[in-house]
Amino acid sequence: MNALRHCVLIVDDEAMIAQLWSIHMEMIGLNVCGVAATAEAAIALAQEHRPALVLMDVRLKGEADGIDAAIAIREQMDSKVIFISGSQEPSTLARMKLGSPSCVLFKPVSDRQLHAAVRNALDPAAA
Amino acid sequence: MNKDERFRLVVEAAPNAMVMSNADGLIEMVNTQAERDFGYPRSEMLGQAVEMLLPERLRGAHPALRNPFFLQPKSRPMGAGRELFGRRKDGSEFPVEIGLNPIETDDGVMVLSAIVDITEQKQRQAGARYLASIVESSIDAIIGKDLDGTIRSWNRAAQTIFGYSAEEMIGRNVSLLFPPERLAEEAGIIERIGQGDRIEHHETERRHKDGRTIPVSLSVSPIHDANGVVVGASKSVRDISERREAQRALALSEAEFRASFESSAVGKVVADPTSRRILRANHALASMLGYSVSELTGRLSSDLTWPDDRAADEAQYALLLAGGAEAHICEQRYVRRDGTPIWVRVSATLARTPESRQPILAVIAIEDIDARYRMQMDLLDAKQDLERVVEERTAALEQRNLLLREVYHRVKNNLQIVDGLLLMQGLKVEDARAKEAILGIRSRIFALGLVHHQLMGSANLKTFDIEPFLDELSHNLVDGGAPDAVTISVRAHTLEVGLDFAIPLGLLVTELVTNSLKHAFPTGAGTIGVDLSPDAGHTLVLVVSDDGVGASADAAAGAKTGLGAGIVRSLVAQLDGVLSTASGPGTRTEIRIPMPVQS
Repeated sequence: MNALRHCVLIVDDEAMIAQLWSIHMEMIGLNVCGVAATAEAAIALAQEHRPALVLMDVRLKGEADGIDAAIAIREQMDSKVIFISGSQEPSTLARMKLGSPSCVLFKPVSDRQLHAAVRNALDPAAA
Repeated sequence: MNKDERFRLVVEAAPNAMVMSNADGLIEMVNTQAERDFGYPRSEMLGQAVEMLLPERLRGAHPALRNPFFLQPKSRPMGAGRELFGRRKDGSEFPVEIGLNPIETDDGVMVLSAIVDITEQKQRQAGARYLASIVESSIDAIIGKDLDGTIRSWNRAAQTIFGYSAEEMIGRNVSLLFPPERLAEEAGIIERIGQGDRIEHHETERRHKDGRTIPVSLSVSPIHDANGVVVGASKSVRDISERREAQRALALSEAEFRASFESSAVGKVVADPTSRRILRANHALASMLGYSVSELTGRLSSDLTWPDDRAADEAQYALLLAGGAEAHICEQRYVRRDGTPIWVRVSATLARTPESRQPILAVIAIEDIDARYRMQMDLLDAKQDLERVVEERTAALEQRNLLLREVYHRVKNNLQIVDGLLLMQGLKVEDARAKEAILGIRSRIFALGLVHHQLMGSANLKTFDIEPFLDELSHNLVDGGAPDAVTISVRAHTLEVGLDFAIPLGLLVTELVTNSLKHAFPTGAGTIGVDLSPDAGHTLVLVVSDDGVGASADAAAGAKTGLGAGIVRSLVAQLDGVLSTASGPGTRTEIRIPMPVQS
């Protein structure tokens, strides 16, 4: 398996929110290698960039959702996944586990919550 | 003709058998009748011992009986008290009576025996005894009486029936047995008997010795003498008390059956068990089906069954008929005269003969359950309607919940977008006061988003527990915008609240905590407390306090006139609360709020 690149893939079908996460990543000092609005685009970008971290919205445009995308990506590489969900349905929460996320954040996500989650995902030992 | 010859002729002409024997017991003379009775020709008897004419079993004892006669010869019947028998040549025996007469002859004393065959007489006697025993053993009283009513015979049954013994009644008049009001009957009976008529099975009443009246059946026949003249009457009397009782019981039982059959509110039918043809139907059934009783009689009961139900009915009835079931009970449809169906409960049973168990009658009860059946059907319909409504409501509710979640989700997403826009704007502005203002707005927006997050996670999508909400809200404020040495402690009671209460309360806490963070800790260290607890009565008390420097003049002025102060006033007013502030050491803001009413 090729090494992962020290960059972040952002997946959210709301352009403004995707941009918000991008700003946060820049504030932390991480490079955003791509932004995807669908599961298919996310998988394709992940294959292309092999990001160390994926910030994954659960609800996406199209048939497949963020959980499907996370599972597919993690089958191919060891990227860390942080789910950012608007929903807390028990069935959705149960499915999230299949994507083996480092963390699950619920909107609204505070700056501090997001920064802590990202740092922890990329360097668990430091947290 | 000498004397001997005359004697011989007399003996010969006698109508009875005559045998003369001598003292030695040898036969000296017999007549023709003796030959006839004993079956021997004269030549075989003369000179023989007289014992030849006796049954062999009696012969041995005879000579000893014979000798005493010659010692004291005189005319007498032989064998007083004993039954005597003769024996014919062919060995057969016959009963006899014998008269013995001593005869003086030249050859000494002889005995002339006159022998009468009494076979017929014996038979007549036996016949009479037989008749008497029949009369005696009859269960009917048999009474013989003269034409004047004098009782001549009285059997045992007469004693049983009337209570008088034969001794009491023979010679008395039959009128003794008549109840006074029936005395006139006897004249009519006697008159008819006098004319030779018989009276058979005449039902009337007689009187017992103890005075009670007995129902009886009389048969009276005339008694004729040898010349055919009516000399009396033979009266046979049967006690018919039991029969009368049985008849009355039967009549009663029939009346009871008829009453229960006719007046029953339930339809009833009596039918031939094989053809099922109706022998009798009651009014209840007739009016149930719209027929008259006479229209139903003679129809087949199976024809009353609704055509679609006939096959099942026939099968069940066949089972009943075959003895496979005690009763045939089912709910089915009958058909009214106007052709419409009616739901009935049918119970059919069979009356059978006690011995052969052959069915005699089918007895069918038909109960009108049409209204009940319709009610059941209506109830079923209503239930199904209700289930459908519940299903629709449930679906509508699920739809509503889905929609609510979607709305909360959208609100949260939009607030996140607004937050993002503010964040980006904050990065663009240089002015510190503007940056701080934007941060304040972001905190307030976070409070709103958090309320929607709590709502989305609650089961009813309407209320949630205030405690974890306040905890997360307060910590986020301190974690997001304060030096590390500032800590916060949150104490709140579990309380289910709705959106209307949580949003102003959450914003109030945001304002007050943000205020403390801004003004209380110039050294960058201290503690903020948030406390929400119920007071006596229906009051909630929110206290936000800090151990900071207290309000500076600047801060105090700002607190009265700034944006934050305006927001706090509005929110307290919205909650119908009362605000009080105390300063130094630290700042303590207390807001007393009426307990939210759960809708």
